[in-house]
Parts: sequence; C-alpha cells; structure tokens
Amino acid sequence: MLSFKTHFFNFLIMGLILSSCESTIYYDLPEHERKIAIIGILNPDSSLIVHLSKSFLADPNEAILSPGEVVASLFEDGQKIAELSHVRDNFYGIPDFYPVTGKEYSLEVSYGELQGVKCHTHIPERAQILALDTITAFIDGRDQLTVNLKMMDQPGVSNYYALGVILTHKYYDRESKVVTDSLLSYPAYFTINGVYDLRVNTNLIDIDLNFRFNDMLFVTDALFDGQEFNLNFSPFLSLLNSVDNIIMDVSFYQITKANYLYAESYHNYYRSLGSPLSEPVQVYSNIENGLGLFSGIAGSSRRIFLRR
Amino acid sequence: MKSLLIILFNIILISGAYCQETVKNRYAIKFNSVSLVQAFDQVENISGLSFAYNKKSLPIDHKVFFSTNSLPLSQIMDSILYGTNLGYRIGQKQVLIFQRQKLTINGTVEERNSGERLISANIYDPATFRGVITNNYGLFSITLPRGLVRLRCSYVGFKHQDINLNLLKDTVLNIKLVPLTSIEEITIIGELFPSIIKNTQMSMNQLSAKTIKRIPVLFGEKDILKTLQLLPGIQSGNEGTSGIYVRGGGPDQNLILLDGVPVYNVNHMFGFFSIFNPEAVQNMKIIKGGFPARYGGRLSSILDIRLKEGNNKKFAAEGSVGLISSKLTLEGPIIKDKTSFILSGRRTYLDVLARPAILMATSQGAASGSFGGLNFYDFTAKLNHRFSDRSRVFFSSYFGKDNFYLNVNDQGRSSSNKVDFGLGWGNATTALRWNYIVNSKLFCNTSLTFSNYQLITDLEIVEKEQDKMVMESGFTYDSGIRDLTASVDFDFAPLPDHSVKFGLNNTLHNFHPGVSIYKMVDDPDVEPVEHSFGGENIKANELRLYAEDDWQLGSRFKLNFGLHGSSFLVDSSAYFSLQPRLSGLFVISDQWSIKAAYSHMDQNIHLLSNSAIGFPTDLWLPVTALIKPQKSVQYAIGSTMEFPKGWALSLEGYYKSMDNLITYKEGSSYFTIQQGDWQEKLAFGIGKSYGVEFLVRKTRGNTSGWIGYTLSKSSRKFPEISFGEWFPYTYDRRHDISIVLNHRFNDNIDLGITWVYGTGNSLTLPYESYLLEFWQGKNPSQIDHFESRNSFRMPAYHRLDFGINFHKEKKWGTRTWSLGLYNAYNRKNPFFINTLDRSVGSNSNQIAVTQFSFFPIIPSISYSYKLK
Repeated sequence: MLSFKTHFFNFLIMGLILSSCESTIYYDLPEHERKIAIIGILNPDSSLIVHLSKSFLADPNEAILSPGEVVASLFEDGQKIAELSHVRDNFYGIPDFYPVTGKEYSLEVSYGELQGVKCHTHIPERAQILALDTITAFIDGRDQLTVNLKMMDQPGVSNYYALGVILTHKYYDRESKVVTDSLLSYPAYFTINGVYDLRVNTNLIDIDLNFRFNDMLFVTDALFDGQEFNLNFSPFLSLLNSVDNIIMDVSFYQITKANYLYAESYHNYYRSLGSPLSEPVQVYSNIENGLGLFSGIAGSSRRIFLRR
Repeated sequence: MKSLLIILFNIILISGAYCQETVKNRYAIKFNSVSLVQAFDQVENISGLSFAYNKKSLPIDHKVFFSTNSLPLSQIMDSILYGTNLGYRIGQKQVLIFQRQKLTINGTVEERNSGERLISANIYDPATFRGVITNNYGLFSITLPRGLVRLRCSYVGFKHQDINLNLLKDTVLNIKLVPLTSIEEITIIGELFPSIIKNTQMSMNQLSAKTIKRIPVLFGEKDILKTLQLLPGIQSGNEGTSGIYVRGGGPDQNLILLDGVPVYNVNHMFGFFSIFNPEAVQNMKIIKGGFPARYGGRLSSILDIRLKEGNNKKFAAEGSVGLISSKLTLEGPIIKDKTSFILSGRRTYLDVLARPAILMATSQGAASGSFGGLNFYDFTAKLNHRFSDRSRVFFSSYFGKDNFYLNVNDQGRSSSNKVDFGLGWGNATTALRWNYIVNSKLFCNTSLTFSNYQLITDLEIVEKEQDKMVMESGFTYDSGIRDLTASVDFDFAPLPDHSVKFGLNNTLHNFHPGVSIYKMVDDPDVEPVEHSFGGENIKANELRLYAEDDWQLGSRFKLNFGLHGSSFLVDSSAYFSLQPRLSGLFVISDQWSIKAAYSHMDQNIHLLSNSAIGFPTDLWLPVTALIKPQKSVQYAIGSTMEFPKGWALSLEGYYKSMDNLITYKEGSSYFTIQQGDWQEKLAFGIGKSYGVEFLVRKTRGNTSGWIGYTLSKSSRKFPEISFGEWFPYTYDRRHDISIVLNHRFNDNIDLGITWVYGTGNSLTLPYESYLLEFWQGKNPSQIDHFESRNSFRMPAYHRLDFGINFHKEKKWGTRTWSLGLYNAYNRKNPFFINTLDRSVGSNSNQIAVTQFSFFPIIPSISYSYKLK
C-alpha cells in the first residue's frame, strides 16, 4: 500500500506538469499581401464556371470578392474569348461557352490592389470507357460486387485519370426501415486497385497509388503505360438489399498533370491535418502569383442499373 | 655515409683522451634565445673546446634560453640539447654532437586501486613535445631518443606521475595512477578536454562518469547524452529528450558505439532518457569533426562509450535510489589481478508509483477503468581475463527494454469494450574482444560483436454484447535491425615519428523494416480475416577498411592522414567509396596550438523519422538501388589556448555539406510508410551547415566549469519540398549557450548549476488560407498555405538547473544525498506547437498557436551509496 506522502507527491508532480502544459503564443506575420485564388476545372461537357476568391488570414468571409471589382478574361489559343461574369457567390463564368478538347486556355484575373494572376491549361483527350462489367464474387464471407472498367492508355506519354461513381436510389429511412419515393444521389465510396488483385480491396488497406479528391479517385498510368487496362473497383452497396434498385453512374476522365499534382498534394495535406507526426504539406498551385488550380478535364460516363 | 664515418672517427679519436679536468670545471654562461650553433660557439669561447657536429642534423627552430653562474659542462650541455634528439660526448679538445638512437616505450596506464585501464590518459615528454594518449584499451606506445627521459603521465581525477628513466633499450612501462582523494581533487572537469594542445584530433570532447554525476538533470536521472548536449556544437532536440544533433546533422548521423558495438536506438521512455547507465560507464568521447580514418559509417559524429572493466583488486558495490529508477552495480575480481567482472542494472518504477493516480482519474465504476504505464530496464555485464601482460580477452553485453502499455476497459450494462495496447522496444548488444600485444610496436584487437534492435506493437480490441463477442480485431507490428560484425584493428609504430592504425571490419546487416498483421473477427462462426503486409527482410553486407598515420613532422607539426574505404552490398546494388581524412596540428607553444581538418564521410543506412522525440517507430533502412548513401564533406579549423590557473580557451569553425539526405515526402509519415513501396514515400535532398564554436573553461580550483557558445546555421534543400528552395533545418539553432558551474564548498558538499539558452526550433506556420470550392460541389473547404518550410521560430529555449550533493563517509563506505531542481524559474519552454487558431489573434496580422510545455519546475532527490 502506498503511503499518503507518495500519493501527495504524485499529485504534486502531475499538477505541476499539467499547470504548465499549455499556453497560447502569438506570432507576427511578415507584411504580406493577400493573393487571388482560382479553382477552375474546364470540362468540354460543361459551360465554363470558375471559383474566384482571395486568401485570408482567419475569417473566410474575407475571401469573398466584390464582383464589381473583378476583371477576369479567358483566352483560347491566345485569343481573348470574353470576360467572365458573376454567376453566384464566388463563381464566375461565361454562359454557353464550352471548352474544346485539344485547345489551350488561359485566364487572367485582376482585383483591386491585389497582384494580378495568370493561369494556363489545355483540355486533354477524352478518356474512353471501352467496357464496363460487373462481377460478383464471394470474398471474405460475403458477396461483393466488383466493377471492371476497361480502358486504353495512350502510349509514350504520362497520362492521368480520375474516376467518379455516383449512386442514385430511393431514400431509405434506417430507423423506420421504410423506402420513400424521393431520390437520393451521392458519390459512392469505393476502393480501387491498380494491381488486379481483388483481395486488397478492403477498407483496411488503402493502396496509396490512388487517392480521393473531389469525390473521385486519381490514378496515373505508371503501371500500365500504353496498355489496355482494367480498373477494378468495389462500391459499397450495403443499401441494395433495402432499396432494391440502385443506379450507378460511372464517370471516367483524363485530367492534366496539374490537376493530378493538386489532387495529390491536397490528399496529403488533408491526411496530415492535425497530425503532429506528419510533415507540413504545401498544396500544389499552377496559378502564377496566386493560389489554386486551373485545369482541363475530359471524359465519358456509363450508367449501370443494379437490382437486388 | 661520409659524415657518418667522420663522426665515428671522431668518437674513436676522443674516447681514449677523456679529460677529467674539463668535465669538473664549472662555468657561468647565459643563452638568450639563441640557436644551437650560437650556443655551441658560446661554449667554445668559455671552455676552449671545439664542437664537432653535422650542421644538417641540428633542428633549426630550436632555441636555447638558459643561464647559470656555476654549472659543470655536462649539465650545460644537457640544458642546451634538452628537447632535441641530439646527444654529446666531451673529449679532451672536442665536444662531439651526434644523433641519439630512438627507442620505444610501450605499456599500459591503469588505476592502481581497481586495475581499471584508463582510456585517453596522457603520456607526454615535455622535452621533445612528444605525447601520446592511451587507446581504448589503456595501451600506449611512444618512441623517444635514447638516454634520460622524463615522462609525465596524467589523467584527470588522478595524481599525475612523473617517470624518470634512462632509456637504453625498448621498454615496457605499466603505469599505475592513484585517484585523487576528495581533498586533493581540485580538477573537476578537466577530463572533458584531454591533451588537446598536442593531439591532432580536433573537435573532440571526452567525459567520465564522474563528470556526468555532477551535472543536474531532469528528475535527477544522470544521463550521458544530456551532459553531452551542454558542449558546443552538440544540440538537444526537444526539451528533456536525449537526442543529439551534432553540427547541424540529424540524429541518425551519429555513430553510437557501446564498447565498440553500434547501438541503433539509444532512447528510453520515448527519448527522455538514454539507454546508457552512467554507473557502468568508464569513459566516453565524442568526435564532431576531423574524423580519423578508423571511424566511418556516419556523417556527423562518433560517440564512443566504453564500459568499466571491473575492479580486479577487490569487490565493490555502488548503487542509487531515485525518483524514476534505482541502480545497482557490482564489480570485483574472480581471480585477483587476472579476471574481473562488472554487473550493472537499472529499473524504473514511475508506472508503479503513478498507477494509483491514473486509476483514480479514470475509474468510472468497479468494473471499468483504464490504466497504462511506461517502464524500462537495462542490464550491463562485462567480464575480462588477462592471460598475460600481452594477451587479454573481454566479453561485454548490454540488454535493455522499454514497455509501454495501455489497457482500457469500458463496461456498460449490456456491452463492454476492451482495448489492450502494448509497445515494446529494446536493444541487445554483445562483444567478444581479444587484445594482443604482438611486440612493442604492434598491438592487435580482434572483435566479434552482435547488435539487435527490435520494436513490437500489439493492439487488441474486443467488443461484447450480453457477454457474447461481437467483434474482435487485432494489430501487430514488428520491425528491427540486427548486425553481426567481425573486425580486426592494429596499432603499429613502425618508425619513431609514425603511429599507424589500420584494420577492417565486416558487418552482416539484417533489416526488418516491419511487418503488420491485422486480424478481424466480426462473426464467431466465420474464420477470422487476417491480412499481413509490410517490407520483407533486407540483408546487406558492409565491409570497411582503413589505414591512418599520425606523423610527427619536427617538434611542432603533426599530421594525421588516412583513407577509409567501404563497400555495401544489398540486393542487386553495390556501393563503394573511398573517404580521405586529413588533420594537421601546429604547436605554437606549450600552451597554444592550431589545428585544421578535412573529412569525407559516407553512411549506408538511413533513419526514417518524422517525430521530434525519439519514437521507437523510427525505421532504420539500408541504401537501395533508389536510395543512395548519404555523404558529407567537413572542413574544420580551430585553435586552443591554455592559461594559468586552469583556464583554457578553444575556438573552432566548421563547414559541412551533406548529400543524399532523405526525409518523408510531404504528408507521409510512419503510419503510411508501410503501404505500397516505402521508397516512394521518400524525398531526397542536400544539406549544409556551418558555424563557430567557442569554449572557455576553468578546470582547477574549488569553482570550475565552462561556458560554451555556438553560432551556427543548418539548412536543407529537397526538390519536392518548399518548391526546391533552401529551408532551415528543424533543429537549426542560431545561438546555443551552455554555462556549467561546479563549486565544492568542502569535502561533504558540492553544488552544480547549469543554464542553457538556445534559439527556438524552426517551425512551419501558414501565412494564409484560401477556399477550395467546386461548382455543384460540396461545402467549400479551406486550404492553409505557407510560403516556405520552417520559416518561423518557436520561442527561445532557456532553463536553469541546480543540483547539490551531500556526501558522507560511513563505516561501510560513502553515501550521497543528491537534491536537484530542474527548470528552477519554471520557464515554459515549447515542446511542440500543435493547434493553430488564427481567430484569436489580437490584430489582423497575428496568428496564435497553442504551445505545449512538458517540464515545469521539477524537484528531484536521490540517494546513492558506494561500499568500501
């Protein structure tokens, strides 16, 4: 039995440690001008809309630009197309303008006293889905659906791809266990492999070759340069037994290297947030004098109807 | 040949006509810093004798400064030729000057009471400015001119011994030094700086267990590495931790040898204590630059720790009881003067003491509660046997382990969760060594060593409902490194002015980068799902060869040059390197010397670490086809001066460039390294560091100590980090100051005070944020942006520690009560900065961060004893 003195001493030590454990300190930042930030994904299937804002220290409301002071011009192969107009919130666009595959685009933005920014991108070749099949296999004691997406990679160049899966089904109330008529649509969580091995498709092991960003998974052609390739992915369809039918929209895109680097660094950044063990991450930017991403993307989609 | 015949002829001529009268006459003469030729002329004038000598054999820089009113000619000649290799013979009309034959004195220096060999004891001939230090086995060899020799042997903490002998043949000399009693002991810390004036080795510090015991430290737990951190050029990492950062290098760049065996993880308790038990340590030295060719394998430092051999005269015991741990050391002869042993152990009990408090804090009911703890133990054993004066064998072993455990038991009405987590890591080393003195000029050491480091993590989670298991999952991870080394080293003195060391060693490395096993059972009727993944074992063979020569060029200049070669074979890759080493010494006077050095080093193993403290999760990995060996080139220059009353001053400057450094890529960490190819998680870059180190010390008197100051800069450049720009190393420290004072009030009480100051560690903080939002996307997220890595600084670090020892002689021996006060003015030094909260900034251009400090003012008390 430990004596009272021992207990007292323990508490004294612990109390001292805790009392001096935490304190707030302040750092003065060097004089630093805010920067214009651009998030722009140019898709031939969508009219052009980009997100424009400015960097801020603490309050996200400081990011909002006054639309009247924004001057944003889009150039196609060096020729000015038009100035972007305000759409809503921080979004600006050119109505009815659709970027074209193979063309070069640049965007110049100025705002008040802030330093003007420039960015460039091209619209890559459209990624084609050669075939989309489903396989049901008995894995780890249960049936598991695997979707096989067959595609062809262009040889000799580095290509970057993104895969998105949207599930749509009737709303299912888990508590009352009732299916309603209203439709629910959301990005599917799924895993992907790059090595044809279904066994590693578990949520315990996240193959780092791929990563998720903007509800899509990103892959490079490092493993299959110039070859026909099968992407196997397994969406989580736990509700299929309850809602009977699920619509699965599979979108497959070719993206630019800048988009891939941005997504990769964002993925690392996101993963390291709050971790004192991880090295700090700078998110990639291809905006000259500014921050953010301006990138082209082109792809194709297929729809699969899944029934119980 | 012609001159030799003339000299021989003269010897024959005058030997038969020896003039007693000339020898008996006494003369008055004064030499005022004159050359030998001028001195001979003066003697010719007063004695009427002529001098015969070969002018080319006279040292041109030798000056004679001496006066007498009445001395015989022989003593005048002794004084004139003192410190030269010249002898004389007085004839009837002539004095013949000739070169004396050189002979070798070899032997040992040991403590008289215990027979413990003394490492780095000085043996110095003031006449010729020649000096040597004993090697790691207490052996020395010095070559001096035939005739009267006066040697001084010294080792701090011991009475120096002057040995006068008429050297007529190669001689074996075993010197036994007597320890100073506490009354006599006025030199407190001189062992830090042995023989630095006359030794080519620069950038070296040495200290004994006695010094370590006098310096106040955290929880009163004496620690070798924390004492080293008080020396210039050696920095601590985070507060309280024992990691060392030498001249801008990383913690993996230190070769830490325990009795010659590399140790891979030197941390107990996540780095707050080192694994070395001071009571078992006899001596340690650290080399920061000017590396001799015999050392290799790391870029930044060599830390050579030697264990005690064990008292071969009588049985002895010593121990201590402290807040954190207790220690016990036993030593004694098995066969007196032939075979001795030492056993030393240490065990902590902080977890046991804290357990009631933890249980009280976490207990929520009779069946619930959480408890955890951390403890460590280590054990050292050494056995040595003397077959003869020429042959001796040693066997030493170290074993230490840390255990961290956490048990959480959450008991609900119908369900329960149980989590058991365990983390264990430890080192085991063994060395079998045979010393053999082949002859007076050749010493050989043959060793077979083994080193093993292992980490095991175990996690088990069990969920039950209504006493029925609904889910059980487990995770096991283990990693480590194992080395088996055979080596042979020679010390050879082929010529009087040369001391050659050469040897080779071959190491078989077995890297175990880590295997993780997951187990999941969520249905008792279904077979458990088990996944295992991780790196396969990697085997590598490393061969190292070296040769170096310590070359005395005249009385004032000394050169140490050598070559270190290595080959590293791993998988299908092979790396070879030749690393030149060069050090020079110029002795300006008996109290002042200048040194310079150039070192090329390489390192074939890397430590993957991204934690500031010494987490055992750090991974040792070899070079591969993708990962190249680290390399460095270091230039250093310095000067050392000694002044009366024990004052000394040294100043050193260095520049070090490093290549093929590795780090985790941004966002990667230990927790992701196991997935996929770990090599792809790494970034490769370069580094540079430079600085000036200043040290003023006082080694004699009741008050002693030192002030060390380092002005330095260390930076890194990785193409994938900070856009390829140079950025400050995390432990770049512009200013680093240590003040260490010891004062002996009387035989029973001594006081130690240390104050340290260091520029804050560098830190990355975001300057600003921006919004990431997609059209028809989800809610916007916020991305923090920073201009460059490590562009901010944590607040400066400073701390004052006190320690006071009360000694008392008892019938059975000596007891000491030690009281300590760590961080006496309760400075909240930053350990790490975790939470960023910019919204609390008091104005628009400030950010506020949460700083965590671990160590407030902490008192300590310990009791130690030493049996007679």
